[in-house]
Amino acid sequence: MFDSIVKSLKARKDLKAWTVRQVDTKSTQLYAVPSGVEAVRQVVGERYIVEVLRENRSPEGEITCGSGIVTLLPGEDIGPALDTAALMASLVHNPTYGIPGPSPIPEVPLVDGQLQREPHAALEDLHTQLRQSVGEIAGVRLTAAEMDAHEETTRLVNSRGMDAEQTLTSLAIEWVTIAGTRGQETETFIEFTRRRIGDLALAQQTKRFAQYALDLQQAGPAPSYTGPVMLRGALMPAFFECDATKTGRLGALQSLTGAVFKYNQMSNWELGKSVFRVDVTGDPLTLYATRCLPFGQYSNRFDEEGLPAQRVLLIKDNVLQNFTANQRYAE
Amino acid sequence: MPDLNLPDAMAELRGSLGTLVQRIEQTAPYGAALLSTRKSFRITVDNREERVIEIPPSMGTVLTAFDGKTVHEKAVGGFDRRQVERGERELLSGVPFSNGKVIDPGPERKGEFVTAAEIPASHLTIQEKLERCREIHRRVRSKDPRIVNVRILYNEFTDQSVFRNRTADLAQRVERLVLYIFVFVQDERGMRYNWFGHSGTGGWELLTFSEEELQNLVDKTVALLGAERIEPGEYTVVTAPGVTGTIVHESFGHGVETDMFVKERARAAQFIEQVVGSPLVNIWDDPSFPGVMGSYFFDDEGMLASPTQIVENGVFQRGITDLYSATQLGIPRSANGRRQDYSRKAYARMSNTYFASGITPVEDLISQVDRGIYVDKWSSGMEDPQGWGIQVTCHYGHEIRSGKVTGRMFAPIAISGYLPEVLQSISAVGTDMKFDGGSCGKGHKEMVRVSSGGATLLLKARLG
Repeated sequence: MFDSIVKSLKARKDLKAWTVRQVDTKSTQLYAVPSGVEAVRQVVGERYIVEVLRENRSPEGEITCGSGIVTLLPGEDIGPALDTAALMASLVHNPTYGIPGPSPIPEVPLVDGQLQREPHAALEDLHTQLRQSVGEIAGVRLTAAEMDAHEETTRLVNSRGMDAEQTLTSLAIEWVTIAGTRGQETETFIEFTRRRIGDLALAQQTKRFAQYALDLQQAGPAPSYTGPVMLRGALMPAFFECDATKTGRLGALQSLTGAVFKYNQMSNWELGKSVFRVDVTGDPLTLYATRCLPFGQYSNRFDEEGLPAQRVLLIKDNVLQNFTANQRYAE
Repeated sequence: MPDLNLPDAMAELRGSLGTLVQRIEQTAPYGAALLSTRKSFRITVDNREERVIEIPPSMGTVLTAFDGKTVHEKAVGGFDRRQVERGERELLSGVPFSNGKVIDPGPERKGEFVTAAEIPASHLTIQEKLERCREIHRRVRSKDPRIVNVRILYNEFTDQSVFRNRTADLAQRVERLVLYIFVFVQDERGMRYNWFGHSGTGGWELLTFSEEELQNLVDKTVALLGAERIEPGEYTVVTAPGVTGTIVHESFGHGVETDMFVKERARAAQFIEQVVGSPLVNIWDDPSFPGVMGSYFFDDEGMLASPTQIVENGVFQRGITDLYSATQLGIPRSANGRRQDYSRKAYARMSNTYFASGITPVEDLISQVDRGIYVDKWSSGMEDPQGWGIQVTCHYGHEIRSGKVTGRMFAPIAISGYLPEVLQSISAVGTDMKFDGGSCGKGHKEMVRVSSGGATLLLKARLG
């Protein structure tokens, strides 16, 4: 079907550019409750995502650009779907932009072989480990766990000659540890996503979060307070809500360093200027965004537009160096 | 017959689901099949650009085999019969189902349902919808020179599903629309934003905006430039319906999803038939409530929509269920077994959760307050089913002095407190009723469309 879509796109004369992605997914899920395994699921999917660009003429006579996206499932009619995408692209009048051309794609390790070969066995093993680890700690119990082993293969071809493929695995795991007895329970909820099982460090994390549940037995409400606050470790990205894929919200850093926000006048940060509105003391802020980190949670070889993975310096010594941008907003 | 407008492959596969369920039940005590499509279409218009996009749809088949102990599911993208039959074989292969437990498939039920609409979204072309968005954008952007951007966000969601088990043969098409207007203003004091919208199940008749609504949005956004930080402390608080709905949603919504009872994560499990609030507290979840965002005709496990009273006159009655938790707990099911899409499992989830109206007109309610805060607009909430802490973040609120809302504005405002204390403190409930529609996750994922709302409340809470 992929080849038929590409052939149909090549035959069209009304498009300025196009990109097609085939995304194949396999997922194995395990859900646990105190009495055992609540659910076991296997999910398979295959879809084709087509994005087209059209050159239009605005009512004022200027040359403009519009885009349209459609998704096809195996067996669906290609022609009508492409017509819909082209129609969407013909309706709007934005400044012109293009799509990335072929360029070297970096090798970024993204696959856990064990998770890819035997996902169900891997999840059962993790569930056993989790129960054992929590069972060894006095005063806490495991009451829920969810695990999702995911494999995704993407092939991307575009009208400028790019043809690339990548496979990645990920393991999402979450669990609940409860301390205390009836009416006095305290809990910790933990969730991680990693590309490799080995990066979970399950035994250490189990102990750490079990201790939090126990500590909460002693904790009281926080007092009203204004003054210095220390953030460290995983709390930093959580505080800034950097992970929009989880919360659905963009945090301050993601939005203010985003070219789309700058373009839409929602970020007042300026290149070459301090990101702080007032004088600040202490260590200067330096911030990178990278998709090249081996087995990184958000690493990949290329993104949805086909742009190769990069490591980008966003802020150096409090000064904004770059915005994060896709092709459209970069142009 | 209602026009379900099912994709061809989905309609064709529907015909063989009865046989498929029979074959599953030759091996497992309970079998079911769900065909599900989730399609979404979006238009954005702002000062700099326009976009018309289809959000990647989710379409697939879920085959379920349940023995009372573990739910086994195979989910296949699309509706290809051969792939689904292969999925059925894989689902049943090598699984040691126990046969001791009888799973109630529910009463005999059959039906096809479609959302009622005066102006169905499908009756307008994409061009016409884009023009309507542009028109609203033009109306707002000229209202104040401090406006630096106006963004119109229109979304339409079409959910089609077919459910089949031994006793149910159901199909539905649910159409949801939402249109939000975001306004960004800037002056020497900084940049502020605000939003307003309409949403619900139905058609474009939901999405009309009066000049008064648009002017009010702009005026409040501009006023936010001068908003103050609130002094943390205990306050007499009047909550607007959206804020009331968020408190309810996070407390006796998430806190009574009975999968959380099975997981020992909900304190409410220990409070069945006990007092949890003042006698003025009446909380419902109702997927059959007409026209609002969380409405549907049947859930993803084939239960026909009907209301559930969660709290009656301050006494906690029952939670909302999915099949698994109802089976484990031995309690009656409610129509709340919902999935994000075919690729995710069903959980006990809210639909339209609300605080029922009372007998006090809103103006009388505010006039009772000598010094307090009218908390006008919510922005986010966080559930705490185990600790019963309330955490609701509000975009802004207004001072109340001598029974009147003044021009003094505070932003943002966080409401916190211990849930039973806050619910006990409710001393008046407005006669009004309003819903806010949106999406709700289970923890950090599993998004479903819901609404929450209710009446204006007078209560005591900690603000900061």
